Amino acid sequence: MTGAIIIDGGTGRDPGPLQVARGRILEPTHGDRSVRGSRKVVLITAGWQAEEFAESHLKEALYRIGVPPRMPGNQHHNVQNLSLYWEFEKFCEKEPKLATLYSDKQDDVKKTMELYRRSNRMALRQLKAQLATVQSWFPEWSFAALLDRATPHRGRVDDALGLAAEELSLEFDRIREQDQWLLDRLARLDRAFLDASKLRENKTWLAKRRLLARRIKSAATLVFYGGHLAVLLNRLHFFDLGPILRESLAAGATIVARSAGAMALGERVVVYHDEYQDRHHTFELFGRGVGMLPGLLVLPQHAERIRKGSQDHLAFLARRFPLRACIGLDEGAVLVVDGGDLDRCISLGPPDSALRFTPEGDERGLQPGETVFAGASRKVGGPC
Amino acid sequence: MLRLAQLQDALAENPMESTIERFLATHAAPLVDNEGVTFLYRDGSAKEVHLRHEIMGLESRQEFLRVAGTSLHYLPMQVPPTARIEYRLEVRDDTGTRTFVDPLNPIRSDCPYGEKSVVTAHGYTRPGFVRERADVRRGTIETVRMLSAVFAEERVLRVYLPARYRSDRAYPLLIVHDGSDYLRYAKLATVLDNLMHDREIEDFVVALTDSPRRLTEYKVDPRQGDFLTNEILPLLQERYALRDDAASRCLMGASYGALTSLHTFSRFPRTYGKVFSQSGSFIHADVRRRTIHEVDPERLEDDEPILRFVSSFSRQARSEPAKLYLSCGRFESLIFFNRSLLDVLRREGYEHHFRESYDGHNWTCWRNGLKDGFRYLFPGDVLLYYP
Repeated sequence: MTGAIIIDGGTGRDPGPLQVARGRILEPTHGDRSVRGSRKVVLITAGWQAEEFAESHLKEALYRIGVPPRMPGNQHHNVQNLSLYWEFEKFCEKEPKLATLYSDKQDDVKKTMELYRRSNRMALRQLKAQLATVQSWFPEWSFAALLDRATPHRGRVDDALGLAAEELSLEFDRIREQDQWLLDRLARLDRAFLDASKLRENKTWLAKRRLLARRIKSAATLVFYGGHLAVLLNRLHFFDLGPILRESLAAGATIVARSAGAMALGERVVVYHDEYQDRHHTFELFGRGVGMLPGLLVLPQHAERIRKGSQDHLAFLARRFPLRACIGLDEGAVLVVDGGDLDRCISLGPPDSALRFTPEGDERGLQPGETVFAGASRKVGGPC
Repeated sequence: MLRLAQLQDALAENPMESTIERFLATHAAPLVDNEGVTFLYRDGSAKEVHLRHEIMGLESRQEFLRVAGTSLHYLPMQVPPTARIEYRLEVRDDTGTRTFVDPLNPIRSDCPYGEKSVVTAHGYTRPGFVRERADVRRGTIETVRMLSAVFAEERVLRVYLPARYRSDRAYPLLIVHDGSDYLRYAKLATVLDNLMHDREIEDFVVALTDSPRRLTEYKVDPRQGDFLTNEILPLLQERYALRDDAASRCLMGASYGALTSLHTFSRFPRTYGKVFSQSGSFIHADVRRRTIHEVDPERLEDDEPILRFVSSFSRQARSEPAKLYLSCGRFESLIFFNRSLLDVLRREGYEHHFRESYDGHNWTCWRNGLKDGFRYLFPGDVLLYYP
């Protein structure tokens, strides 16, 4: 039994994701009969930080679509907030020493990311400068075409175009190596923190994780909202909730996610904003996600955040992160990821509400019912 | 000037007052098109009409032309596409000479220096971040009264706390000069609410100070820095959750407010690490003769303390880290002084950013520049925020 992940392209705190998943909320597919019968919905609004519990309108919306706070004869709440932000705050209050260690580790994470950002910025500038030079000589050659020319011929070129393409390709590889460098360093910092803190042997932590696991596993539907991506993701990682969420999904739960909530579920988390001043680069790796969307990079709010009209820019995005599909989402877009290994992704939103950024640098609108990918032939490590 | 040409064509065909009236019934004045602005004035008895403005580099008093046989006076002017111009009209007739706002243009500036008419070029847009939004939670403003030993009188300051303010966190501090004017004319609270809501800037506390005698107290008067540093700052540190390091404290002001900000920043390098300067009155000896002192030599003596300070600042090396954001309108005479200060900032290795706009020495220009400055000095989490 495997559930499904429904990604809603909307933004904000409205009940949109509940409407999108209404059918599954009312007729759950969970393998556990009692969970299925309860139709229980757990809301994850930790990205709203201190406003985590400002979700009464969602409870009202659920009531209107047929999920009352309690089902007849059911003693337990049927709509519940996971209270992830709150539980983390309480943990920090109760375990101040561990909280300080964690905060110190997060400071190290920030420093590591700043180093990455600086070297990334330099490498990107270099890549852009080289691309501009090469294209001034060979104006008909796009970034994608140059990379494609370089890859099969690397080391066997005998003309200026081939050499230039190879140079660009090496520069591009350097950026991807830096991405991998970041992931490695973040993993090392995490390991060092866990070794030093013995967090996972701490009784308070274990109790809180059990509590959170109970809430997650009791849900037929889990709804992730957006907000502050780092806050949400850090708390999911802190309580090591990835395995529990995967277990719940494997048991047949439906996971609905929008915005930062959907980004956190991916394998790699990429942050972006082309219009943000003083950022000389537009996409940067933020770290690993919960790992529930294999091969899929979702980019919410693309209309506002991603500069269009430059094939080279989009080709750079689609090729940089070695995933199966890079999908820009906006209001109305709906993606459903399901299948035994979550190896099928279908777009169900209106035409063009989701965009596929191709390795050639094109942006192609997805049509209702269009398959983004299907089958187990996923090859992580290659371009989208 | 396309629109002016349309009017001229219509008048060539039918040179009657009714033609002008029909045209003005369907066209807003001044006429704005891709090529610039045409100012219009109707008065059959006017002997001379002049445009009075403060656009640096242009004659500040420009004479209108008259369409023969009609009451219409006009002045075409080429301006940059994003320009915003504040102006008044000067009219001479048999009764004398008067200046007043443009009666054909209902748009007025909201500023403390007297009413002016406003025209914007075709590429100018009012920034969205100055509009109040229903979806944005507002910060709160508290009033704090204190007895200042430095000035030997009661002073009132207001303190803006972000909507998400929590007393168990620690926030950076921004101290603003002419705080009441910033609130009223630059919509500072709305701008902060919007930018913080959208995570374009981080949350910070803002102390809004005022001076009853700004022309003396803000003019490199050491009492002002003493007042901020020895009286206001300890009081704020005690009452509010503030970070306790220079890099988290910023001084801000416009015109003389910017001057006193830089002065205090320079006197207390371990207390303040940032400055947000808008149209700073950094009158500098290098360029003074070419600008205001050339036309008004009496000001030279008056400005001597400023000259001394800016010269000493130019020679001063600072070991503490600093981040400065400066902006100035290209239509201001102060643009030369501000640009000349950049050399010093570069030479001394200050982290800084300078922004010029096609506007003048006015509150709308300073309001429009708030977002850029705040994003540079207090960058937010927008890259990590996906609502």
